[in-house]
Amino acid sequence: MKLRQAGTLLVILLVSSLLFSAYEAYRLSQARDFNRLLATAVDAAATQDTLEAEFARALSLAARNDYEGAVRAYKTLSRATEGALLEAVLYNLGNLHLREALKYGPDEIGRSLPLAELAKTSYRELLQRNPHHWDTKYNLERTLRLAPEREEVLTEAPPLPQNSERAVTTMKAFTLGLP
Amino acid sequence: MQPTYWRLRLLSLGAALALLTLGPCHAQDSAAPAQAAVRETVQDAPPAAPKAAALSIAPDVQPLRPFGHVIGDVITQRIALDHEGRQLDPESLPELERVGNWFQRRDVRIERDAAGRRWLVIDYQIINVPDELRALDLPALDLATKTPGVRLETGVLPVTVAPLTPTVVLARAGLEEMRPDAEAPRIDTAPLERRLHFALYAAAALAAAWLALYVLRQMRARNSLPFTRAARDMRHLDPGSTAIWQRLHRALDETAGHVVRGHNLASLLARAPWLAPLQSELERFFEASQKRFFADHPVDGQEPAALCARVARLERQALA
Repeated sequence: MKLRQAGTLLVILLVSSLLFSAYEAYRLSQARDFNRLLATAVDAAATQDTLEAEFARALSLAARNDYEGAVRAYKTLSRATEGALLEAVLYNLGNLHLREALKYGPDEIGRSLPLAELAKTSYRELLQRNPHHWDTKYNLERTLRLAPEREEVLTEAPPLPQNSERAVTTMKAFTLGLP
Repeated sequence: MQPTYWRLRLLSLGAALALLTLGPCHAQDSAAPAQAAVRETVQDAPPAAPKAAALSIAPDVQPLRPFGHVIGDVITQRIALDHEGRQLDPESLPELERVGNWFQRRDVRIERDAAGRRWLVIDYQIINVPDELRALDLPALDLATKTPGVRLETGVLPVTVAPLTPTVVLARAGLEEMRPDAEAPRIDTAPLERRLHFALYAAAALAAAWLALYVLRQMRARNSLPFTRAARDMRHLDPGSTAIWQRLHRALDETAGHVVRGHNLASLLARAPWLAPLQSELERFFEASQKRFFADHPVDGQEPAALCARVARLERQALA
């Protein structure tokens, strides 16, 4: 009877492992599909329901100059990701703000400055996580060229809290922090 | 009118002289507000309050590389927490905040080195960049310690910081206005493949184990279960012989634990309920056996070997 129970247990384990194999095979197939689509078209890959696909969707929105949509997508992702993907999210978010700031340039500093400050915040948050992210160093420096932080400005102003912005955000009619 | 103008000129001259005399004094005062504040404090302090003089200690500071830094770099300052063999504990650690125009204090901690010496370790990150290579001062520290009247004081440490990019970009490959976006990351399939392989190997191992167990159970059944043994024995007996009937009877008795006949078949079924589907066939077998052995009457249509094989199959399903 003991052998019989052992046999039943083995059958249960066997069925469980087969079910798990089927699930993993499905996930692997989905991942391979995503990678294949990514190589051909980001938009197609963005139709799937993974964090990487959400990232691809945000990238695709940015490529279509949908600044607000892309910011929302990256902000949502930044709350759900960690590690290398979070670094990529923060970097692209900074780039999104910087690109928009560069559109206005120093001639329209009133419009470009808030965007540059948002870019600095993203880049600095990323550099805090990974001080060796060279593309971020490069772009933060370019942002500082656009919106420099001179010594005299800071010595006159009160000390800033951590990760603070140095200009009031005057983005047009939507809140960046909310989905 | 003439005397009035003369007086006005005199007044203007006096005012100009007063401004010239007082101006530098004000400038000097604003240049040294701290000293003035100290002086004022000393003057305002009650003379009858004797106070222990504060002792400022300049602790050992590990030398750091003072050159070759760029934006984003982390500079770690290590300050010894001892003086002349005496341990010193800061009353509180420096705040994590932006320090001046160039640095952000990222992390402050106390570490002990291999020799057991304690160090206050402070990570500063360069968060701003000068227009050209320039020496920047890592800020000085003045920390109160838990030892009354003793303070830790460090001086500024100059480090050179240089920009990574020229003021005007080169606009050549890789050196444009900004570095491009990070590409959408591919999903790493290696962990998924590893889990799939593990699950498949586990399934194969379990299937092999189940097969081995099945074979073992069948072998044990062949040697231990009464009807299975009887069915095996019957292969070597003549189908029409009396022995084949007797062998089935022995298997029935062995299963019931006593001699079974037609009238007490119920006790066999109570002990081996898995025989219930063949109850009518067993009843016919006992009836035929009665005729064969006691009425010496030949019986047609009764195959003990076939019945035994069917019973053995049920027995293995139930017990093996």
